[in-house]
Amino acid sequence: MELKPYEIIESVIAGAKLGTQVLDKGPAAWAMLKAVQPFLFHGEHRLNRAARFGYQKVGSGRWTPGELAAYRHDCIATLAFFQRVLDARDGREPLVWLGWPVPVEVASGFDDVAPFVPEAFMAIANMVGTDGHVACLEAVEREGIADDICAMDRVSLGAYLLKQIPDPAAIISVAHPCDAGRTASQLMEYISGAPAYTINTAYTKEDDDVMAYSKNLFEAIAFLEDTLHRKYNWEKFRRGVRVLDEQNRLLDEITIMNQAIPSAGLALNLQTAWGSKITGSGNPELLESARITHKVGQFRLRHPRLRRRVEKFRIIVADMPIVFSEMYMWIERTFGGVVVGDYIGDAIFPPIDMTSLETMMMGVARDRLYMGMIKQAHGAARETVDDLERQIAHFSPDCVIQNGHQGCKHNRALGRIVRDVCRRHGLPLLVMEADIFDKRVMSEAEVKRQLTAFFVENGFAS
Amino acid sequence: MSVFSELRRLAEVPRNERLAAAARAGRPVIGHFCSYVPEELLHAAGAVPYRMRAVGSCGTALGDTYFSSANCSFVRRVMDQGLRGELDFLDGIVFMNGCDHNRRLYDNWRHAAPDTGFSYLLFVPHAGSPACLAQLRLELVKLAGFLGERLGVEVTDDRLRASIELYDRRRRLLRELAELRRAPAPPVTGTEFLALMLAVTAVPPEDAVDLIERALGEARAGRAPVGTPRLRIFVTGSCLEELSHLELVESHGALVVADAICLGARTFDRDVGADGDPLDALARRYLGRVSCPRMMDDVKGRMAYTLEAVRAYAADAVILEKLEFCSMMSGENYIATHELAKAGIPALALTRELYGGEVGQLKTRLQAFYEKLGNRS
Ligand code: SF4
Ligand code: SF4
Repeated sequence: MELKPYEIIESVIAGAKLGTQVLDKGPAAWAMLKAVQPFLFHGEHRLNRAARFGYQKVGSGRWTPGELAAYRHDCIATLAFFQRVLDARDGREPLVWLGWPVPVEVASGFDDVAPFVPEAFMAIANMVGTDGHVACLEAVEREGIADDICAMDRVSLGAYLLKQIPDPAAIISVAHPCDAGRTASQLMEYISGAPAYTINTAYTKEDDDVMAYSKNLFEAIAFLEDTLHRKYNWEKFRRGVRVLDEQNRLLDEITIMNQAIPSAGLALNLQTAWGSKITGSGNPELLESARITHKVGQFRLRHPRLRRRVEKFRIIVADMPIVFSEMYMWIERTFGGVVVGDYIGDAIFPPIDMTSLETMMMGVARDRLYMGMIKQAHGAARETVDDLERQIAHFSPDCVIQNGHQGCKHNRALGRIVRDVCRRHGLPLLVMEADIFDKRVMSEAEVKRQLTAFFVENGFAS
Repeated sequence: MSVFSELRRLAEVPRNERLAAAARAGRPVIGHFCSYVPEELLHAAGAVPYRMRAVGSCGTALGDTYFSSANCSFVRRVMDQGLRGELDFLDGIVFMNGCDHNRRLYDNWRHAAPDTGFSYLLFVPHAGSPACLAQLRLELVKLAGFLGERLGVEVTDDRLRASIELYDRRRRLLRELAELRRAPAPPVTGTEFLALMLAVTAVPPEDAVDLIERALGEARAGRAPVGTPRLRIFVTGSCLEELSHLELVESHGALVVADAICLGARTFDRDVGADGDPLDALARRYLGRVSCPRMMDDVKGRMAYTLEAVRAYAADAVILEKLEFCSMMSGENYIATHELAKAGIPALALTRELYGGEVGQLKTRLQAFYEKLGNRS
């Protein structure tokens, strides 16, 4: 696939504009999305390639009007974020790249700096069809970079090589969550030649570690002030952290609602919130999205019979979910299995102490330590295992799925421990050997075949 | 008998009589991974630090019950040895977050609980900023407290200073020996130097100092095992411990004259020094010495080190060594290849499995590379 410069970001902007307009129509939008389901639900083909991914993002025609209303606010935030990136390309303000686990507040607290997260391409490259990811990966392969680096990082690298990402004025890298991120950050810095600062994160969630991490965040802001000759707006930071704290309170409750039997069934919505927070933490639109999703959850808890019809069995996805194609809605529609908890969408965040800038910065640092993927990947395995044990205890699953994502070396090294945990709880476990971004490793059809076989073998489907 | 024969013998076995003697004398033997673990701290707690290796490993069959095929063969082999009871001479292991594979080795070790005493995971920051120095110091305080409690020896400043002095001495001697390799006819081969590094990190440091002094004595006495080599090679990479592999690299008239590997310059670059607070000094030295690709903010430093070493040791080419699935080296090799090309220095990137069987293929690649180099000059 040949990509024109910035084609992916432009597609995202176009998609987000369209999404906002369609979702503005309220219940009529819901009816429209239902109507196009036959064309967009089953598999990608030449005619639906560009539209299908956006369609999956809004629940594959299975979201309710309430969920769609919530997503409209994510669309607005997405649109503003990417539009600003293109404006920065055109010279309006400097662009700062942030490694995805870097709290976006480090750059968004400036009045006139555009933040960007290159790894966002993991979630958006499909806006031109699943070949979007492949095009980025092939660009990296052509450059001679080995393919043992996680595809998530290679997609962002490839996007830069293919001129999908504007040049940065500065880079803030981060030591989380894995070797792939660490090596890819160095590659990005090297290839772009931009001045960079590296944030070293915490390896545990203990106070002294989080304090040390937050000192890195202060140093990163000072680095940007020096490099970009701009002043950080601490009042803006304060406002954003208040929004974040309020959003977190709602996300916590949505996660808890998913634990009910039947579940509120909002794991995919929480996944969306995960992605939106990376680029837009502190944005009031995301708070609004969480408020509406929270209402949807409450409604579902008040009307459990509506849910019981679809919740035949409960699933935990104990690894990154497949990104090149959305599977949760397919599982729900085909088998009545509901993903009640997952690796990135399970959103439990501690409250933030608002008494001073220092405590707020510690709150932001802690928030990112509790974010999916970082939460489990940042230190010893007990972070992963305790999280899985907690999910099993709270979400009452009937089975566990692990994607065995190819590039994720630390997760691949935990297979035995995860298997032993599941065995101890008497839970069937499916370990796939897919790559969450690269359909060339395992196609959508093969992923579906393995899921089907697993559900049939374990009596969840016939 | 030449000390180099003794060093080779010590390098080829996982445990040795010097270690056994120290253990009989009541000194615990503590394994550690990675050149970022300050051996001085272990020593100050009364232990003999033992650099972990996969020497003598017979395969990965048991290790593979924990690790996937996408994990590095070094950790799979060490795990295998642990599960077979081959490392039961250890009284504890200090693991480190050197890479994700090593970090998970700690987790799998705890899960499998082989008979190797305690397991401790040291977190070393990935950058050298002021905040990171403070973070490392905090981690060292935690490690010192843990060791003091486990081994019953308080790590006082005085004990730590004495250990630092001993290890600085070992580093100085190693540097002196390494410097002699600048000569047109170096007194040690790369394989011999690696054997020496394996040996001196597997015996009490007091013995190590003695062994290196003897090696220096022989080297200064005009030793030149292969005379003047046809090609002088600089080697960089991560885990590299196979003597047989370096022998392969040193075929066809090539000789390794310097390196930036874990069991090489990364171990002996830069002293800790006797000034000031010893924990501050340790943090400064370990974050300040020639870095490895896990350190995210020092690509330029590493490249500058390589270019300077190539010049100082008159190397004709660089070999970039990587173990399969070592993502950190994947990124590093891309950058190094470009920087070396810019500087007009020929480079060859090799990927292998630890003690893997791909000898024929490696031989062919090396031979082709050396022939090309030979034709240039
Ligand atoms: S999926 Fe794993 S390897 Fe990839 S970025 Fe996330 S933690 Fe790193
Ligand atoms: S070779 Fe690389 S992946 Fe393997 S243990 Fe060493 S640093 Fe880790």
